[in-house]
Amino acid sequence: MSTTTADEHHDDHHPSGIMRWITTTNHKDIGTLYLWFSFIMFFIGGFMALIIRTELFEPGMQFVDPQFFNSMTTMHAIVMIFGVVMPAFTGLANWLIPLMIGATDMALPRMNNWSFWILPFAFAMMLSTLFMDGGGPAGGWTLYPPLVLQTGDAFPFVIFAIHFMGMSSIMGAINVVATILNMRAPGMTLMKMPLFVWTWLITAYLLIAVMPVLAGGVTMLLTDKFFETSFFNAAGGGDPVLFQHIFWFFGHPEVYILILPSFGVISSIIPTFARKPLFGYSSMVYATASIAFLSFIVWAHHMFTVGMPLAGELFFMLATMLIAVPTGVKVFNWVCTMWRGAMTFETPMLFAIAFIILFTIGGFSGLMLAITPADFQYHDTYFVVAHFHYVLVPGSIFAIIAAVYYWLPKWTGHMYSEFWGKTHFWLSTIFVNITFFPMHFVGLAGMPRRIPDYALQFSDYNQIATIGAFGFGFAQIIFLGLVIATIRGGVKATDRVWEGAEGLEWTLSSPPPYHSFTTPPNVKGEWNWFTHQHYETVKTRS
Amino acid sequence: MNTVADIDHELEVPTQFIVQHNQSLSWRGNKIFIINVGILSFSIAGVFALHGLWLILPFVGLEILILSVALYTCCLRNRYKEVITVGNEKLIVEKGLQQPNETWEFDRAWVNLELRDSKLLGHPSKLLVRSKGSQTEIGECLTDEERESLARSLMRTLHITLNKS
Repeated sequence: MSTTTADEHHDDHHPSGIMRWITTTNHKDIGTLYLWFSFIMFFIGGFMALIIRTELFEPGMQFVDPQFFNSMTTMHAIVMIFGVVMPAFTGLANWLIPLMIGATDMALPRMNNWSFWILPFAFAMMLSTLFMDGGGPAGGWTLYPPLVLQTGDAFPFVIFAIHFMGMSSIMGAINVVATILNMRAPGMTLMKMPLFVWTWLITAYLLIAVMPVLAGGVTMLLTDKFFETSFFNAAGGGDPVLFQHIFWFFGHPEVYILILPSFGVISSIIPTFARKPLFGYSSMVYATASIAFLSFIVWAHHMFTVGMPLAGELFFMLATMLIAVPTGVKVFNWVCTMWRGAMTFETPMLFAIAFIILFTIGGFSGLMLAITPADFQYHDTYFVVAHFHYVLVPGSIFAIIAAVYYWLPKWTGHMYSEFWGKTHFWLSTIFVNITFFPMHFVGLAGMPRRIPDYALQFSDYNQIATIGAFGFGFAQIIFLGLVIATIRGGVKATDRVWEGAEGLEWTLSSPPPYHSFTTPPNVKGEWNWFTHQHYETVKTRS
Repeated sequence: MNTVADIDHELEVPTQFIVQHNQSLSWRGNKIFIINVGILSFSIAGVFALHGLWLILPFVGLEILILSVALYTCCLRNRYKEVITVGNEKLIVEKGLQQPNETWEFDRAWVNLELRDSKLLGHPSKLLVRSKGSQTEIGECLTDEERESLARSLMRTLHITLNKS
């Protein structure tokens, strides 16, 4: 035993090497793991998209057989939803929520470790099904019976992989809820929380409410296949349409699980670069809660063509259109935040502005799809593909990219290259439109989705979309290079990083210490974005 | 978030150090949240069960159980409190949830502080107070940095050096 005094210089000491990442319970480490996992899956899912687009470059069958094509559409969706967007937002939540609410870490750090490490195993299992007899799942991510029950050896592995993904999501959501409810700094009331924290609290609530529905649904598929139950088997007295109700009761809130944290990210970025406080903070919170509530009562708009009573069709049509109101409040508030602001256009702001414009286009096509008689024409066409890709790519993915650019200097302590950031932005924005905008036209002209071949009349727009997809894919390699370069070095970032940035995370050093706040910051008074009187932060480390 | 101030100056005696978690929502508030989520989730599962799709119910039950245990664990952990009183003659350590469940009294003149790093990867350090053969751990709910900060403050108050191992 050596005897020293505690006044000696003291660094953050924590495990290093591979064991650091396997055994870590630190929110920043786990956030980093989630983000890298998501990034890797983004390239895997993107590669699948390029296979789809390559096959669709010309009419006729060129490169893959129809079964594999349908496996690609199914896997691409599952990977992008459960492997990219959800883990990316969980990674952002891990990194940012403790920093934003003034906590040292997440409330349940060991469970946090588990919820991440389940994911690589779940996706290894899911991707391995592509190499099994009968190929991977090819019935679409919606897993409708009886089609999905025709899956070969892969079927039980797909179900178990989905269970694992669900477990990971639920554990992540419980951790977020426990952290936000119990670990806010003194003085940080619910209505003083940053919008990103609010949107994640509501997202976690949605996750907890709907994930068991998916778990129950896929388990019933499993028992129908292997234990001779007849939940969805008409011959045994079951009803396959009931599965669609189950799936979309989960699936529609899932759509909001994928987009609500984006709203939080954009609500953080816009005020920073407009150098104005967020317009209508309270209305943003209530709008988010309203969207979450409405998400529970609109699921059957995915099933207009399945057949339901006229009153049901009317109810679901009107309830769906109602979602435009709180969403419109959000877009209005973001635009009002920018109105007469001292705006600058750094890369995160460019992605945020593109998000607002392009997500709104996706929202408008959603309104078109909400109109029941119109949906009878649009259903299962490329118009639907265009709609949800506008919501998810320039929506969720752009928000995630914007978040990375915005907080990367805080995470790494280095500024990224603005030149390469803007190059990435312009290439992504141009190519994302080249990819998905023509899909509106082929969809309206009647091109069905999930079909590897198509009529000659759709060739031109499909070729444009394929060129756009490859361009968008290559643009993301710039992003990968930029992230790696920023981690490795660069101009030192200041603690506050952005002139207009407000929030507790900016009061910490860049990069922040291993444990975030060793003394609780005291959040007093109302938001004051200019005088910094808002926070009376006791900083013990830098 | 835990409460411990890193005090740079020498403190007057008697001095009290209160080590506790920051708890931003009461257990009652947590219970309201659990009941809220529970009512919603069981209502959804109940409606599906009425249509014969009963397999959603056990998943909801399991999830609400895990949520309840998680929030209860947080609240229970956050109620933990250590009160360390440094007097002219004695150093008193009290530990408990709502009230002191355990109390130690040490002769101040013989008090020895040791900050012991864990031999196990990723495990927390320990801050031990000992005197005349008896010892107890303090700052259990703190991070390593916070624990060292508490040790420094105690060291200044007690006019002793810290044993680090």
